[in-house]
Amino acid sequence: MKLRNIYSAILLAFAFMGVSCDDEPVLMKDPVTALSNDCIKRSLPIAPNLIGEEIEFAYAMAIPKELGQLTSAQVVASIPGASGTYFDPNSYHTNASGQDVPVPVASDSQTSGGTTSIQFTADTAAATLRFYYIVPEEARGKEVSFKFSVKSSNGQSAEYDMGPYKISNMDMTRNLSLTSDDECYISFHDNTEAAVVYSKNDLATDPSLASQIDLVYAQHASADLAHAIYAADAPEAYRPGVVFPSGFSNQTKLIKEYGLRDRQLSNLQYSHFIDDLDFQQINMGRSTNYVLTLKEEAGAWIETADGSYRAFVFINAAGADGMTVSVKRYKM
Amino acid sequence: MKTIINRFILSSLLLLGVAACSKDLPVDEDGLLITTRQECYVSNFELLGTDQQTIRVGNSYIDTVAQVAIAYVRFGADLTKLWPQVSLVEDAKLSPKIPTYDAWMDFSGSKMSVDFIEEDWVGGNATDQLSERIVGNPSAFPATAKKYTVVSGDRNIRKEYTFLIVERPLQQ
Repeated sequence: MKLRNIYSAILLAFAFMGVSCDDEPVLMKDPVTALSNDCIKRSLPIAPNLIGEEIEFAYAMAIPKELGQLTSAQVVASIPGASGTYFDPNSYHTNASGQDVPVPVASDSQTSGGTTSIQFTADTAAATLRFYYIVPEEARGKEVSFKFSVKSSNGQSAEYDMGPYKISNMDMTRNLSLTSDDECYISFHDNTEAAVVYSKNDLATDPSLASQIDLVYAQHASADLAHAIYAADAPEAYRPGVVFPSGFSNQTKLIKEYGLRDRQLSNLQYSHFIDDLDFQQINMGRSTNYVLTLKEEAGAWIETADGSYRAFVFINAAGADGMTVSVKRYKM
Repeated sequence: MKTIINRFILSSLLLLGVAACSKDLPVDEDGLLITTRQECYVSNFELLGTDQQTIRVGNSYIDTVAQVAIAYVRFGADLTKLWPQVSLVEDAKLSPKIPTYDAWMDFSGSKMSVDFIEEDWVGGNATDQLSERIVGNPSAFPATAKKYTVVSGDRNIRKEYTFLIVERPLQQ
């Protein structure tokens, strides 16, 4: 009786083994028999694409090892990128501690016109390359699209279309430093920069700059005023000790904000973005001609006196020795 | 015996049902209940600047007898674009209403110039001495001061409040 039990147990175990060994690996899809590729945009999809800033893509290519290896890859942009547009010649993998580790797989990329190409130098059947497109001035307000392609040693090629992506009209200038009674004159009328800061010296050398000044920054000891910006028609009672330069006459409109942390301006983690549409739609009817008690993460919407520009000034830092601001500007 | 208990339970249930139904209160044109409350006063007065931050310094002073609310604001605060918030006693309403969207309004008409004397401001906050002096002299109220009427929960009592703004002098 007992022996029989043991036998049947062993028999059962063998039966199980037989069943488990039957499992052949099964492909979920058809096997890959050719060169294939894929692409993602690594820059945040909702972030406005700004002139002079980069758009980042990751382009993945692979071919079955027995068919050959990768030889070259290229991307054609509908509008040629500005200088600094390139393929990163490294393929990356992530190590155990979450760090991206580069592995060189190609020679430096070559850009001519809208085409950026790269030759593989490593004997590789799969790679993911990062492509950085610097948005050129020519793309302002237009749409740009990309055609990625790859060639392999067996003569096959593959293509991947990305876009179109809308390029914003606005300009951005980051980390302008303001100091009270010195680098305190802000202008939004520059041709290329979203905002420029003139110092007292600049004004002394070229008094005609005064007509370009849109706002004057001042820092007060009193917490009631603290960091303040003034248009030319700001009431004198609220700017004790602040002398406006002669020729400063722009009655710039201001709306004080707090907590509008645009990601591109603030470099903080919040996914808020100010885009062209915001400048078009903001109601400047509730504007004032001075803003007091500015602090970190505050800001102000601005419309120049002639109505030609609207801007948003974000306060990156406000301390004992002035403010650091970042500006987005939109030409109306 | 059993039938008596059953009848008792049934009738008490019925009674309960009647009692519950009789609590129905009428609803006004805004979908708010018209209740039996007769209290009618302002409990707080808040002013927000365009950055949605308060411009007040210290608490607002509310005199429910004189029907005056005073907000003390920071020196230099812009009064032409403000979003007022008026807190009321339970079930009461404000007339005219403050919109829930884009309620920015010019409150500069409510600004009162006051000749301050000693002890009016302590530690940056207005004292009751100042508040009581302002309330005690209604003839000095600006004619353009904003006025809102509080309507009680039963909609029978209406009290008009005058809303004043006093700017704190520049703090060093």
